[in-house]
Amino acid sequence: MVRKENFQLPTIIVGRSDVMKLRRDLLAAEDYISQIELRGSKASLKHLPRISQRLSDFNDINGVNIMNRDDRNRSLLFINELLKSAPELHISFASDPSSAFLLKIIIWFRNNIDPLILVNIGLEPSIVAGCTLRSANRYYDFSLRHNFAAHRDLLINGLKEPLVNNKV
Amino acid sequence: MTIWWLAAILVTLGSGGISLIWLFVKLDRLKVSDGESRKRVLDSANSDVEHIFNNEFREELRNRGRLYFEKIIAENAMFLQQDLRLTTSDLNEYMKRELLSKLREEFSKYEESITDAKQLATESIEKTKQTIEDERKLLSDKLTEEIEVEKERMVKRFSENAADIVNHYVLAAIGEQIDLSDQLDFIISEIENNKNDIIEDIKHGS
Repeated sequence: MVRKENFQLPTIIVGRSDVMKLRRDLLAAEDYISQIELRGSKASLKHLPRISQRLSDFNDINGVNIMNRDDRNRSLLFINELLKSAPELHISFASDPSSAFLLKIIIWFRNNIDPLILVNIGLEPSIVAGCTLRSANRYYDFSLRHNFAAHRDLLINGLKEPLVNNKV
Repeated sequence: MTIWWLAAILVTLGSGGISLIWLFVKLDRLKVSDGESRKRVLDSANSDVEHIFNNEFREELRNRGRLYFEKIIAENAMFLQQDLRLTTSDLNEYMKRELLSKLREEFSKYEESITDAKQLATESIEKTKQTIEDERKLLSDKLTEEIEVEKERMVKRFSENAADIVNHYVLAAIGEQIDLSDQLDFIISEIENNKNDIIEDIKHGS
């Protein structure tokens, strides 16, 4: 399991696609550093190309020194393990969630469910409001549509009531 | 009276006998010159005949005969004319009567035919009307039944899909105005309610 390494995920990394991007960023940095080391030019190492925000956050939160090969290898190993066996959830909203909203949701999931959980965000306009949540084996519908369907009798009675009152 | 009659008869008989005797005597005297006298009589007769029945007399007779014949002819013609007029009149009357009778008969037949045709047409129209009425009633019943079924089906469908319909309406009406941030508490509370299940599924699911 990935927990052995005591790594954490920054909130900027939300779903599997973010992890893959993080891995790509890490490999790019690895390539660059390896090439510089092969050339033996120590001065160039001081001028690393600008790394992505996600990689930077990942390094910061986990105390990873990108210039250290071991750190890079551990990070890569962790990311590979994460991609292989991280707990995942799919959550869909009626509209694109804002970054602040997403941040709050991710924080809650990481605090309450699993610190390394990956949440894939989807879009499902037909649910109007609320969300749908899908785990490996279960599907949860917290949408307004589901609420309407669950309270269909109440809805029908609510629709009939004005008609009855008008007839009277 | 009988005696008187008898006396008259005897007187008559006596005078008759005397006359006969006188006649026989006279005839006996005439016998002598019978041949000549006969001849003279014949000549005299011929002469008198020629004298009496002369051409004027004959012409007169002919004229009279012609006039008489013409009169007869005229009378007969008049009678014939009268008969002809009567016959013509009778014939006209007869023709008129016959024609009227025939015409009445034909008109009666024609009227009867017209009445029959009218009756037939009326019956046919009535039957058609009845058939149309039946068809209309059948169609009306069927239509009413189908409308009822359709209505029930629609109501049932509406009841079944009311949630989706309202959902669709809400989505169309205010879908873009619903802010996710306002739903955060609701979403988190819902997930919180199912937190244990989710954790369980994550731990043992995959």
